[in-house]
Amino acid sequence: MNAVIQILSGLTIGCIYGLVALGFSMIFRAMGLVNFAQGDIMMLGGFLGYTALSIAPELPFVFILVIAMIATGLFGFVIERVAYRPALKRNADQIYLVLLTLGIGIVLANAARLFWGANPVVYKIPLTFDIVHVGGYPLPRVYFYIVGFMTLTIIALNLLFTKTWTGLALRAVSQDPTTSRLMGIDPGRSSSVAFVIASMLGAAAGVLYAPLFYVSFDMGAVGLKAFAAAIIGSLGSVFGAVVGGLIVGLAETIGGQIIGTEFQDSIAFAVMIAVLLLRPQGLFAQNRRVA
Amino acid sequence: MTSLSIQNAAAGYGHTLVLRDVSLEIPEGEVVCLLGANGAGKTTLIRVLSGLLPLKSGSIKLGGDDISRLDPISIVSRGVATVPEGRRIFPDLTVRENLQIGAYHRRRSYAGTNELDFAFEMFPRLKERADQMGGTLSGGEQQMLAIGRALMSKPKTLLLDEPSMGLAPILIQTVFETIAQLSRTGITILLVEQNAAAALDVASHGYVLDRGEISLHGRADDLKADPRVQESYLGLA
Ligand SMILES: Nc1ncnc2c1ncn2[C@@H]1O[C@H](COP(=O)(O)OP(=O)(O)OP(=O)(O)O)[C@@H](O)[C@H]1O
Ligand SMILES: [Mg+2]
Repeated sequence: MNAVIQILSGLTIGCIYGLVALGFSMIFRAMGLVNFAQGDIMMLGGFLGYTALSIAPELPFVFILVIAMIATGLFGFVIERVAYRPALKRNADQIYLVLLTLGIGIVLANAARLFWGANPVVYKIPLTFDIVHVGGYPLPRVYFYIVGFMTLTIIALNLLFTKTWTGLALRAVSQDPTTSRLMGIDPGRSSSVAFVIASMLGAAAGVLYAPLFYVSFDMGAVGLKAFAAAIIGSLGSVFGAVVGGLIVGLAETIGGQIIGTEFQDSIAFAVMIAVLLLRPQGLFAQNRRVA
Repeated sequence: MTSLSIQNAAAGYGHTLVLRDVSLEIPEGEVVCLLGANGAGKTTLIRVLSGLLPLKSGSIKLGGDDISRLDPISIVSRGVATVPEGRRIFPDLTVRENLQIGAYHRRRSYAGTNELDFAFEMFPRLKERADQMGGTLSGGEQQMLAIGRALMSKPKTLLLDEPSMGLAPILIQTVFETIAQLSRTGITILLVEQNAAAALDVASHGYVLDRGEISLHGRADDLKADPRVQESYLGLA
């Protein structure tokens, strides 16, 4: 009985990692850039949701989620325009780009600390304490929101990539930006779209994570585990990001039970190292086509 | 009049000039071929015409309009499509998607998958392979796909960069037949080729690019008879 709950909670937290990992992969595909600020984007989303809640405590959770996603999406749009794209245009070295994304993450974390304080905040809403019983197992209601959101995200991304011009353009640009321009595609627009989507998914992860745990300026570290998840599933693969997230979530929850929760945080990276030793390109490198 | 012309063009990469003073005209509805040795600057000229590479000086005219400063998006929207050197098929898009993306600039008027029918009629092989990834096609099939993709934009002018490169003789023949067929539909064509004999057969006019400058130009028949062309490009002594 306890094992079932462990597995379900592992899969749920895995969905959170998967959402952030999707952001890593989308941006990597679109711009060839590893955006280490992705975890801090998640934090920003969590805090924006918190602020929305404190302004309008009666607002249904779904609205909080949407508001945080839109606001963070706008933020991602601006950051891409003023910071990343100019640096890429100037052909900045990969090492500077990595530092740039790390720097933006640090600035974000510190700004959040200034603005929202150094102490973790919790969402004071019924959802935080709401337990439902399914087949005799007590489960937090937010689990269902998380899994539901992940399912919708996978469906939406699939439709985007296969059924829309925007998605087709995203894929074309990630394969060959120059030839894409000959087709009349603006690669800059594709990178905007990728950043906005990645930021929105990160924000959703932050808001969905909050009722289970808390929001805090230093939770960008969660993003690093999501990075491990994206690597496990092959950076750039949408399908791989989701599966990588679930693997990390499960391994960490179950492994934490076996070897002690104090080692839990290192498990994501242990799994990543193990996968990379056996399969340096990650698990889904063949599957460069989207999901 | 939608003839495409370039006047006194200079262009290059960084500080090195690859094209020095190139002038060339492609009259509406005609096939003009551009010959030249490896490294002469033929692909560079195609990049300039398609908007990928900015001119350092000179001008490009399409019909009566100056298009010298336009980006590739505006140029393809004005009906100039490119079949780039090396085909440049999107390897992880299906054949169908590779064709569809050719219509990207006119996506608002795109009428759905039946728009692909003409490409499939023209190149039946592509229809058999419609759901296969572009990267899994043979060289010849990829060339058909690159031409089909360019045609999906409904171009009035087509820039072809060495479409016969790396193909077996039988396929080379198919490519040139396709070009002749396209020309009969009224499309204006600039054809860059190493295969000078076949190119001069299908073209009405030809230019020879030599280290960034036009060294010869004239009617295709006259070029075929020109001893300099015969020696350097037709392999006749
Ligand atoms: N991206 C680039 N950066 C710097 N130099 C370049 C670049 N592309 C081409 N060049 C140089 O410009 C010159 C002309 O190249 P271009 O590709 O236009 O020749 P080409 O006539 O198309 O040759 P080929 O028949 O081999 O295709 C060459 O000397 C080449 O080295
Ligand atoms: Mg060339």
